[in-house]
Amino acid sequence: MKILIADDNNVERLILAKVLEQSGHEVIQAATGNQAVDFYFQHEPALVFLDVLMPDLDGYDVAYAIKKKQDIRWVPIIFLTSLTDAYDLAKCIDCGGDDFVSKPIDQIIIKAKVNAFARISHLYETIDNQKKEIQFHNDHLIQEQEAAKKIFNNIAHRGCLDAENINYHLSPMSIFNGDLMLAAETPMGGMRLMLADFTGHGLPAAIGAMPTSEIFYGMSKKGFSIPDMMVEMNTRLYSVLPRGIFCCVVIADIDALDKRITIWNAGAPQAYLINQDSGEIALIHSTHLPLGVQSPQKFKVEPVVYPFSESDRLLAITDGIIESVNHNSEMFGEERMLDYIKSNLKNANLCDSLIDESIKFTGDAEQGDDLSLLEVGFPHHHLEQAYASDSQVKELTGTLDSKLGLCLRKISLRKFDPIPLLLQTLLECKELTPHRSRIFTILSELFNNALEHGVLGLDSATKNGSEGFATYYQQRIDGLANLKEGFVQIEIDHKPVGDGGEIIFDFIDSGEGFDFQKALAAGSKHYSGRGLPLLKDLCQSIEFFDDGRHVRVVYQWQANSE
Amino acid sequence: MSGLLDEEIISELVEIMGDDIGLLFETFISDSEEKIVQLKSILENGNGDEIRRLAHSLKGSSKNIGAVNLAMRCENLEIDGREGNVVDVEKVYSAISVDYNAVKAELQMRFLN
Repeated sequence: MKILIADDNNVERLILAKVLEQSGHEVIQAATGNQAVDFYFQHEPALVFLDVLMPDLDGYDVAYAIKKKQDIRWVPIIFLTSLTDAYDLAKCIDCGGDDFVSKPIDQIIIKAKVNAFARISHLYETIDNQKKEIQFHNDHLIQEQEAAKKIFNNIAHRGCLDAENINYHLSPMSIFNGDLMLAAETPMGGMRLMLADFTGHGLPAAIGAMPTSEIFYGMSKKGFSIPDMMVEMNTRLYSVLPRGIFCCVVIADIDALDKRITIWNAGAPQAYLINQDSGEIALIHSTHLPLGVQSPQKFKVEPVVYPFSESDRLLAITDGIIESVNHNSEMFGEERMLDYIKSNLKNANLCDSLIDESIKFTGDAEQGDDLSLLEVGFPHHHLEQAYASDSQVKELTGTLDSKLGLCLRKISLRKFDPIPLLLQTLLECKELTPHRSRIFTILSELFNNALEHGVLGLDSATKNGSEGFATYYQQRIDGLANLKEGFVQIEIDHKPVGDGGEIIFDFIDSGEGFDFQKALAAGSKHYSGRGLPLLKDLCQSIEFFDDGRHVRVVYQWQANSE
Repeated sequence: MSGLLDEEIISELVEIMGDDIGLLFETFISDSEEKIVQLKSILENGNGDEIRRLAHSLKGSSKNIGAVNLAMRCENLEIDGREGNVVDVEKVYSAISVDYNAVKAELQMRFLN
């Protein structure tokens, strides 16, 4: 140990130095107070012996000067004193000293003191190293979280959450609380929204957000239905997430053309479908275990369908707001939540006022979770206009000159949604990228007509009235389940024409056919459920054969026609 | 030799200092020599505080090398100096001076050639 001795008495200093050197310490000797201060900062000793009475600067002042500038190191100061007055001895400690020994020097006491302080110094050093290590790890962790947050934000981006029909509340660090909010415009020109809450906190909770949001944006863009997408998410999360981490989710599709919402709740708090005009509030309860819990074989998605128009709003929440607690340990709770919604039906931003309300309720009581709220009104319908980059166009014309055929029979009709497959195949012709939305719309209108009105013989008039939607979609589910036989046959012929191309869609179904003459007549509303006006708008031509069992539409496109 | 040097302390110092024992006593003599000279003039002209400081310093060195009598005389002078109660200056000086010279002679004889 390096030890500084400050003593103006040469004899005393010599003896003390010798005692310390004998114990193997390195000794630095100062004969005056000023020299002691200089040597202290020059040599950085680990221990200091200070004589109290020195001619220039006394021991008290030296101690004060040293302790005043003391860095993070702890360097004990021991006073050498022949003083016996209690006041003088106390002053040694008051001015920053750590101990005192009385003169004349007793080598046994000196050695014992040095050993004791060496032990304490060692302890300080250990604590200091540990503190530095903790600080280092903490800095590192924060740095990593920042980096992780950037990566997460790129992948789990907000999509179209900033659209004007959406209000939301999500804290910037919510990803590390496991909350995830995603929104995408669907190829049909509607909107798909998801609010997810992973169990746990920190990185483990955030990790599941990556595959979830990749699947969300990837599959939504390609036109996959909610059940298909949720099956994919569950399969992925089931294989990826460790036991005990799972994902509660509310997912909804808003179809802006058909004015309906398809919604599914798996493990999340009840969501609210609020009609501002009638004041009716439909509660969307969880009907399934969260994602990542059940094996793909047992996983079953059965969303419900409700009418959804300009006067409707969806409110989805994570458990943060419901479980926020006030000073009396009362929870905000679903009852208070529902009451507030009922008395604030017309509120333009229910999301913000609910946050305010919960803050008013909790006061400054510490909250365990983030408050995530998503409020969605009716979106404007518009068909997305994506552009293909020039390089893609030049290099890949893919399925520009091709014919595609697919026939779905009974069992496949029950289980399989062919639209994403057909869309993706057609879009292998990259020039079609700007036409994605329109082609998706044509495909889904044609397929749903063939399946629902053709094969199942459903009447779209059923959808009218408040119970209508539920009845209609129940009939669809029952019809598919009880289907004895039937088919939908699809042929898609894509040919280059001039600068662009022409796609001929042929859809043939096994149904009864229908009076297409009447349906096509201007002003007819009876068959509007078949989306014929929309198809007429989008397509070059529309023709029916075989009493309406066979429909052919022609879609023509120009390269970079936008 | 009673009271001149505490032999217990001397032998402990020999043990501590080893070959440097001569250096220690040389340092003691040269430091003290100077202080004895100073003491004479301070006793004649100085104030109580100056007397106290010098006596304190001389006492410290003496105690360290086991010069028991010398240390005791210096301690008494230190106390008197603090209290501003120094009387019979001549007598005090000559007692300390005599004691010191005896210690010096003894040390020189035993440890310094």
